[in-house]
Order: sequence, then C-alpha cells, then structure tokens
Amino acid sequence: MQLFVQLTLLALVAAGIMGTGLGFLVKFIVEANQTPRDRIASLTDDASRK
Amino acid sequence: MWWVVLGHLGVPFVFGVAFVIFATASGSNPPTWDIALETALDLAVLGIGATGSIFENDTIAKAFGIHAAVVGIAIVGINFLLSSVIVLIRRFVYEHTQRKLLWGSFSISLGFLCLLVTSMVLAYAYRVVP
Repeated sequence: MQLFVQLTLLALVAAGIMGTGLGFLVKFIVEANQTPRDRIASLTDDASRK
Repeated sequence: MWWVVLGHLGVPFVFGVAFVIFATASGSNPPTWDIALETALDLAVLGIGATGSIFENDTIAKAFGIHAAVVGIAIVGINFLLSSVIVLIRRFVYEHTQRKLLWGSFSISLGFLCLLVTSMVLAYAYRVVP
C-alpha cells in the first residue's frame, strides 16, 4: 500500500512538472509565431481586463 | 535507479516534446494554444495503447497473477477517464479562458498522467516481484 501511495505521488508530481515544461514550450512556440498585430491585440486585451 | 528515471520519466517527456513538434508542424495555420490540447490527447492515446503491450510482460503476469486482466482493464478505464477530462476542458474551459498557459499545462499534465499510470503498474510489478 505504501509503495502504491509513493508511486501515485511520484506520478502526480512528475506529470505536473513535465506538463508545465511542455506548457512553456507551447507558449514559446505560440508567441514566437505571433504577428505584431496579434501582439498588440493581446496587449490591448490585457489592458482592458485591468 | 537511473534506468527507472529514464524509462518512466525521460521517455514520456521525449514523446511529449515530439508530439508538440508534430502538432506545430502539421497545421497549415500559425500555431495556436490548441497545440497543448492536441499534445495532451496524443499522450492519452499513447498511454491507452501502451497499456495493452505491457500486459504481455512476464513480470506483470507474476505480480498480478490471474488478476492481470482486471488490472489492465482498470488502467484503460482510468486513462479514458483522464482523457475525458481533457476533452471536457477543451469543450467548456479552453475557448473562454484567458489563462491558456495554466489550462494548457494542466491538460498536458493529465495526458502525461495517462502514460504514468501505465508506467506505475510496471514500476509496481518490478518492485513487488523479487
């Protein structure tokens, strides 16, 4: 039972870390392919939310 | 120890990076945040597929005995459950949220969890069987 709990916790932590890593990779790819117009639109979006 | 890290964490991460590149390269439009959800679903499908193959393993058969089939079906069920959460996020959350990074990372983590649940069964069997 203890082994099962340890493995579950390890899987959750590892999935979280790897998911965040790939999330940032996707962010990098998406932002690298934004046109200047997209960037201005997203900045305007942020400003209007504030 | 390092073989375990490579097998259960390193290899899934390599698959994840490969899926992100596939999703980026295969689209005809500029890449969007949908890549995150596509990657998550690809990882989930890989996890479901890998479950079938690991139950051919002798160590798994020794560890779970006659219950190996039940464990296999249960793992596939868990993987489908996690996949359904990814699809739910795509349908009801992702379109409207401004926090794309948070929900994208969460979806990819669920995809990784599908693979790691399968890996967990292997790791458990190798620890239990002497």
